[in-house]
Amino acid sequence: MRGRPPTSQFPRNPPHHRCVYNHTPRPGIRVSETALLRAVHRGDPTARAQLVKQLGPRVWALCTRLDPEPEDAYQAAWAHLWPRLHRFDPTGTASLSTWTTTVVHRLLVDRHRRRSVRPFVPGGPLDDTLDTRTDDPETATARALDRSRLTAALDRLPEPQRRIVVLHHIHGMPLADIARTEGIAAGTCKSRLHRARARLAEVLAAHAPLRKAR
Amino acid sequence: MTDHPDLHDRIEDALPEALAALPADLPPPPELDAAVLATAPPIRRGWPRWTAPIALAAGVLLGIGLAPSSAPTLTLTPGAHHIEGPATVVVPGGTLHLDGTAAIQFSQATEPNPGTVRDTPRTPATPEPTMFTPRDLLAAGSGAAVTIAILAGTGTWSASDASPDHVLTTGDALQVAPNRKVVRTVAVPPTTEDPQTLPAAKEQLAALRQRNTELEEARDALDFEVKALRGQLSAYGATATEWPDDLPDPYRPEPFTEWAESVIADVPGFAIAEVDCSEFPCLVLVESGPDAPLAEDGSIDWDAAGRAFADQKPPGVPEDTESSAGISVMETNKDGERSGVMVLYNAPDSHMADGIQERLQVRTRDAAQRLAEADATAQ
Repeated sequence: MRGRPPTSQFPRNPPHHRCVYNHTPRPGIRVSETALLRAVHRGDPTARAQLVKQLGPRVWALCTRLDPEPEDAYQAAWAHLWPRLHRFDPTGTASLSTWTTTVVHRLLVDRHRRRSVRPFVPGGPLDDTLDTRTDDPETATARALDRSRLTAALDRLPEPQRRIVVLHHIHGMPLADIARTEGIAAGTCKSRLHRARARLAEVLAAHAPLRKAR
Repeated sequence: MTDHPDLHDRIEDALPEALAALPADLPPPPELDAAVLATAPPIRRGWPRWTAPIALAAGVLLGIGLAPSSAPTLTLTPGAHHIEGPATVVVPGGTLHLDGTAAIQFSQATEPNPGTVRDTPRTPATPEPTMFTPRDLLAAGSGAAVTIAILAGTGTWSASDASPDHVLTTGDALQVAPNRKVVRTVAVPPTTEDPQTLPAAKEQLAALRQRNTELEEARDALDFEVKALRGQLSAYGATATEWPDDLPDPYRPEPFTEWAESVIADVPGFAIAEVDCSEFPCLVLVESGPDAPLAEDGSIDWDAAGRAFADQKPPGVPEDTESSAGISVMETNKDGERSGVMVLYNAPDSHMADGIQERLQVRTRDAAQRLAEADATAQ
C-alpha cells in the first residue's frame, strides 16, 4: 500500500517575521482533578462519589463497547481503579481521564485474554426497520453512518480490532499508546486499525440504505 | 450488496469523522455506580508521617484499655520511685491506693529534713529561690522512711496501724515517720495539672498544632505548585525528547543529516546552517542566500526548499511509512534586503508522540533566535 505524502505546514507566501507553527498550547495541569483525588485519598466519601460520577461515563462507555459483560466489567474496572488511583501523576502529561482510559483498557485486554469462550456475534442486518432507502450515494453514506448503525457495526468487529477503533477514533488515544497496552507492535496496531476500518466499511456498505440500481 | 462501487470507499473515508462523533462517555446505570461506591475498598496512600505518634498513642490507649481492671500491687524497695497508677503500693507503715501518678521516696533514714519540706501550698505565680519541686520533696524525704507526693490524680493512704486514712489529691505530699505515723502532709506544686498553667499550656499546644497544620498545608500547596509548574514546563516543551528505541535508522542523526544536506544542496539559493540532532527529531535550519529565488510579492520563495525536504523521505524508509514534516519560516526585510531562516523536521508519523509538537515549537524558536544572534554578532 502506498502511504500518503508527508503532511506539510509549508506556507505558500511566508510573510515577514511569521512563525508558521500554530499549535494550541497544551492545557496545564487539571487542578480540579488533583484536588478531587486528594479528597478521595483522604477518604472523603463525597469525593469518591464525585470521582465515580466524573469518570464513570468514560469507564462505562469503554466497558459497554469493548466487553461482552459490561456490567461485570464496570465493577471490575472500579475494583481495579481504586487501589491504583495513587499511581496517577497529576504532573504528567496525561489527564486523569486519559490515565483512566489506559488503565481500563489494560483491564479489558486482560479480561479478553482470560475468557476461554469468546462470544459469537451474529451477523444479521444492522437496521432495516426504517424505510430510508435512497438513490443518492452521498445520502446513503450519511445514513449508513447513522449512530445506531455504526454502533451495531462496531459490535461485529473482533474485540482486538474493536478496541483499537474505539480507543483511537472515539477516545482519541494515540496508536503508540494503544499498541503498548495491547502488547503489540505499533505497525501491527496500525494494520489492525486499517483492517478494522475496512471491515466496518464493508459491513456498513453491505447494509447501506441504498436502492439497488436497476 | 450495493451496486454503487464507490460506496464502500465513501463510507471508509467518512468513518473516522463518524466514529469521532460517537460519544466518548456514556452514562452508566445508577445502580451500578451505587454498587461501585458500596464496595469501594479503603484507599491508602502510604503512611503519613504523623501516623507513627498516632499509632503509638493508640497503642498506649489500647494498652490501658486492655489493662486488668484490678490495680496491680507493688511492694517498694528502698529508693526513689515514680509510680503510674492505678496501683496499690505497699510500703512500710501502710498502703497507698493510687489512682494517678505519685513520686515515692522510700529510705531507711529516720529524720525528715524540715528545711526543705513545706507545709503550705506553693503558688506558681510567686516563685522563690527554694522552689519546691517533686525532686526537692524526694530529697526532703531522705529524712523520712517514706515520702509520698501525689503528682496527678488521687491516692488514699491506709496506715497499717489502723489510724484514719488520708486522702491525698494532686499536689499533696505525705511523710511517714519510722514510727509509721504520718508526721506531716504538704502540698506540692502540681507538675502537669496546675489549674492556672494548664489551660495556658493547652492553649499554646493547640496554637502550635494549628500552626503546624497550616505550615503543612502551605508546604503541600507549594509542593503541588512545584509539581504543576514542572508538569507545565514539560507540557510546554521544556523537556528534551528522548530518541525512540524503535526509530528507523534513516531518521537517526548521521544518516538523516547526510540526507538533509543532499536534499538542500540540490536547491539553489539555500544552504543548511545547522542540523540540530541533540534530541529527537533532528531539526534542519536552512538559511537563504543572496541568490535565493523570490516569490511574486518579493518575499523569499521558500517553497522549493521546503517541499524538497518535506515531500521526500530519507532513503531506506519503507514506502508505506507515514511521515510528518513541519516547516517554520522567519524572514526579515532590512532596507530591501531580505534574509531568513527556515526550520524543518521530517520524522515518522508513528513516533510523533504527544508533546513533541510543543517541544518542536520551543526548539524552533530557540534555533531561530540562536541564528539571529549569530548573525548580529557576525555583523
